[in-house]
Amino acid sequence: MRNVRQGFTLIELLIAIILVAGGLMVLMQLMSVAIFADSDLEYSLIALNLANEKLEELKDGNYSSVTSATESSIPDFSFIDDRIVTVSDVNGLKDVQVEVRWTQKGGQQSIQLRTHIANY
Amino acid sequence: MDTKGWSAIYPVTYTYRQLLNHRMEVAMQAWGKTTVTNRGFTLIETIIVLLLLAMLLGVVGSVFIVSLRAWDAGSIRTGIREDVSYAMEKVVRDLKEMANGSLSQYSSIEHTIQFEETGGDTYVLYLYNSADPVFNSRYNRDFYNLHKANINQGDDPDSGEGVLILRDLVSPDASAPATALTISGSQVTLDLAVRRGDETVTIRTMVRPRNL
Repeated sequence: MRNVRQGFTLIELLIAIILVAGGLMVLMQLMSVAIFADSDLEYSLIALNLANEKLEELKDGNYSSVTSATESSIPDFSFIDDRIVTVSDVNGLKDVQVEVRWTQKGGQQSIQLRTHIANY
Repeated sequence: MDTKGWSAIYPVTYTYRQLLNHRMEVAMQAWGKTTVTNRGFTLIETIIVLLLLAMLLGVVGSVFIVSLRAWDAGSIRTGIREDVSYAMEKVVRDLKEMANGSLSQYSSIEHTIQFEETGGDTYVLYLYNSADPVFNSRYNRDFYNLHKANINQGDDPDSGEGVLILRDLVSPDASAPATALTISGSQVTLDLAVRRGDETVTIRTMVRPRNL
């Protein structure tokens, strides 16, 4: 007949609360990871289109004007660090590489497109 | 009288059950005096715990709400991104592979592109808002949809006919970022700015039709 319904102590409750809070924090951490991974994709998509833009511009211009150049910023796309065109001659063709770089989460990301342009 | 046995304490008339009950009562009284086991919390303890719990929930809850909002914004942007990249891919392909014909604006209206496909049909890419009584060059609504009309099939841009390619484009007359379909010589610059809620995604590229 000994009464054993003892209830929780304050310490036990505090530990339980801290554990629950810790668990919630981990869940939210996961959420923010997912959100950042998502914005990665958006930046890559924009950078890819800007790299494409440069390639099309080079294809449309004179063969002689296809030269190495660097744009240190792109209007309306302030997150882009620079757009670098690197040209080298390969058997009478021009090997063109366009690299678009941007900074995200403290690191620099980049996307590169490469093609050959002929003098036709 | 027997002074050493139970009968010295209890009269013989007690039953065994009564004896047991009595012993238990005595035992419980003695025990209850030394330890109180179901004491419960004091009011102060309860208030402290509730305050701590409320504070923790407040902190966790506000962080949670912030991340929920970010999640919402993220999912809207993902939706826009999918739609914009589809539209961009489609328009770029169409223009890249267009026939060697004329590339111009439709009836000299800004932000329209008229081009010919290899099948011989003429198409028009244009921005349309159904609230406009007649499709025209004044972009004074907030949002437009990008349509592709086949003129040879009788699609009429004035009434928004043709295939819908992309919704919720920011008006070309809005301050940047704005939508723009610009022809200069034989190249087309495409600025697609889509806004849903507070989120805007802008993508720019350029196309140089291969057959021109």
